[in-house]
Amino acid sequence: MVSLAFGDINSPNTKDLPQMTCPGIDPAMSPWLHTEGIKSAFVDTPRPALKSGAASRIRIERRKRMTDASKTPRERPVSPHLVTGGLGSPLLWRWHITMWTSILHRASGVALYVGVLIAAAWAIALAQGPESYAAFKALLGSLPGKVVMFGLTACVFYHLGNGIRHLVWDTGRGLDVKSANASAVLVFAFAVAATLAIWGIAGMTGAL
Amino acid sequence: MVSYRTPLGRARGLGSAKHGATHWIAERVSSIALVPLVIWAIYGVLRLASGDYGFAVHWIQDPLNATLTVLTLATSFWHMHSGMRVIVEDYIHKTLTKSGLLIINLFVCGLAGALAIFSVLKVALGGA
Repeated sequence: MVSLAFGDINSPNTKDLPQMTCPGIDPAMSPWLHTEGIKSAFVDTPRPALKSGAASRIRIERRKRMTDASKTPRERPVSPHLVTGGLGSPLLWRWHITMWTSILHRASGVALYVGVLIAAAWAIALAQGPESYAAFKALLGSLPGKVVMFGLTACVFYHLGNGIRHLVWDTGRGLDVKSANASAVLVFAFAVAATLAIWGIAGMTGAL
Repeated sequence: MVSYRTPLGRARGLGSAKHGATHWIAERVSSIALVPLVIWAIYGVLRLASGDYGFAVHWIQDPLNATLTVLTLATSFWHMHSGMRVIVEDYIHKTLTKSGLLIINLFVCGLAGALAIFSVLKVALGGA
């Protein structure tokens, strides 16, 4: 529980510098709990030498200001998080494309979890015999089945493309904002193009 | 038993469980393996979609198709288990709920994976 003030007291810009105050500590009661006259942020020890002359006046001035500030707490800096409050509250951060890629990577991964279970159901149906296999194919060939398969195709290509993007990142390359934005657009374009291409091929080869 | 060691002394050198890097690398290695496997699997699904039961049996009895199908299934189940595990660990913080979901995740992946691979092998080895 330490009250800190940054900057040199002789600097004309002292008022503009950020001051971090801790509620619950009255600076007037513990004058040694803030660093003054030094440019570092470590905890100061009592320094009677500073209590005389101009430094003392500035110190009293600052103490007044800090006491006022503790009555009406100024807006605190906020850490990066999505919403200001509960659900439905306005977003604190502008939506970036890289946010979308990250969220969709997880979402498509969850969708593909179901997709692999469908693949497992295919293998089980195949082992059970012609009737089960025909029923399985009829289910996937129905309109809802096709919608699910189309969605899974998009998820496969998105997760594949963005997974490769993550693997490139793991080597330390392409992590700057410009590259990350560009690769995000590339991954989305690849996912859309590959999905449409595969369904085009499926339509031409009679797989639909 | 009363320990006379200080909290710092107990914590020092202990660090993490030393398993984090293994999980991280395993997820990357499985994703590298899945890149060619998934591309092959999409080709396989396209061929199987236009064929009937007889074609599927014939297809899976090819040693290359059988091997790659088993490898794709095994790697996919491994990868999706670790992925879902990370999601549960990220969002669920109640010990009982978290443990329950992690066990369900493991059992679903283990059971479905074993069933799928055994089914493929059964047909591939001529049991169907």
